[in-house]
Amino acid sequence: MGEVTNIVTEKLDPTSGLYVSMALFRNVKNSKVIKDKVVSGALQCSIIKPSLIAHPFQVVVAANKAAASQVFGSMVTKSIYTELLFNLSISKNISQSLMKFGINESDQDILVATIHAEDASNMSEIMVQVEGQVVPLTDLQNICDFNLLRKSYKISEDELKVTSLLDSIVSRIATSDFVSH
Amino acid sequence: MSSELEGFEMMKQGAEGRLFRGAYLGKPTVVKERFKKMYRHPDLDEHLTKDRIKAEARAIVRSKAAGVRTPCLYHVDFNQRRLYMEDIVGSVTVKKFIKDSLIGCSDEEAMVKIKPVAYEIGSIIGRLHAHHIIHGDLTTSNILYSLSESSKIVLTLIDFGLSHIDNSAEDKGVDLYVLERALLSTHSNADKMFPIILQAYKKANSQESKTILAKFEEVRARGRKRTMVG
Repeated sequence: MGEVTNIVTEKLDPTSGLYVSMALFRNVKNSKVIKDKVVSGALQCSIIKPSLIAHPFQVVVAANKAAASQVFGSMVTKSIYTELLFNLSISKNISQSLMKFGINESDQDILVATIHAEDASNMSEIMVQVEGQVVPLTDLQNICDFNLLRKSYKISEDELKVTSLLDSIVSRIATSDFVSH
Repeated sequence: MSSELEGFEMMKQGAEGRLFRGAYLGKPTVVKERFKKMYRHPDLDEHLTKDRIKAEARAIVRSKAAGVRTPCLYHVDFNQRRLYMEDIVGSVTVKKFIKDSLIGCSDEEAMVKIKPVAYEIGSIIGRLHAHHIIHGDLTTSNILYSLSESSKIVLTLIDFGLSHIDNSAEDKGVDLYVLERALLSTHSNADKMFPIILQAYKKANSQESKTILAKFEEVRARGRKRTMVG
């Protein structure tokens, strides 16, 4: 993954021609303002609850699925950004998924993801608006809630003996539209 | 709509599809692409292919939950009939592992190396069957051998293209029979592995092992296919 000043970027499925970029913020003071702007469409990005993210790759896989759905016209939500949030969840309930993986107005940690064409990320525009501290994405491992993740993705102890938590999560995200867990 | 797999190299071509190796989302990846069958009506072909990709992906995920290591799934693309999954870097097939173990070794020396692998094979199949997952093509080429950072044996089960979920003793018996045949064709001494495999299998699937082993003996006596006579 390419890294410039704490922004991680990854190329998505070549069919889409799109990229995903992520940045992690801590001690955010204006989460409500940011959330309102994202909901109204004034800010084009997904804002994700970092306690439910084990690793940036988890977001990459969900973003990739969203980008592919957009290309083939099979999105189930209104925008690629709500689609990303919905894809993070293994539930089929859209509003519950968006609430679970989106942020609350009082949250101080937020993970921002944008999907864009090559070299056309709007992340710098978003970074200016977030009143908080940008930290490396590797800090996710300190923020993520292991037990909450295990419960949310329904991963048993037997499974974790043979697979990493990240691999288990990613495999579930990739198949959530047709495998029930 | 189907685009070329940019930067991927073809590994293998089978009757149902092709395997490619390359990088996807920054990870070493294997892509399994199923063929479009031109002799079938397009709607039927799309439907069948979609169902088979689903069954394969489902079995891979269910196997993980059963405590059997399988490749991580990165993406499922029904439109291009592709399954994107983890490339198990640094692995060899169990077939190759057995063959290599026998080179320049006495049978006894080779068995010391092979024994723990045989035990592990029995355990994973036992766990799979205890969760009613039938692999459908259990050959020594479909089990990958690698070592963990702490030098533990890690077996990864691949190619769930023929797998299904079923609580049938017959199908589980056939799984074991196919594995036995595969072992016999890998090397003449490989048959020494099978009793160890069965021993571990019984332990991992203690509840049903009696019924299944009886079925296995039955399959062994008549071959994989049931006679259609009478």
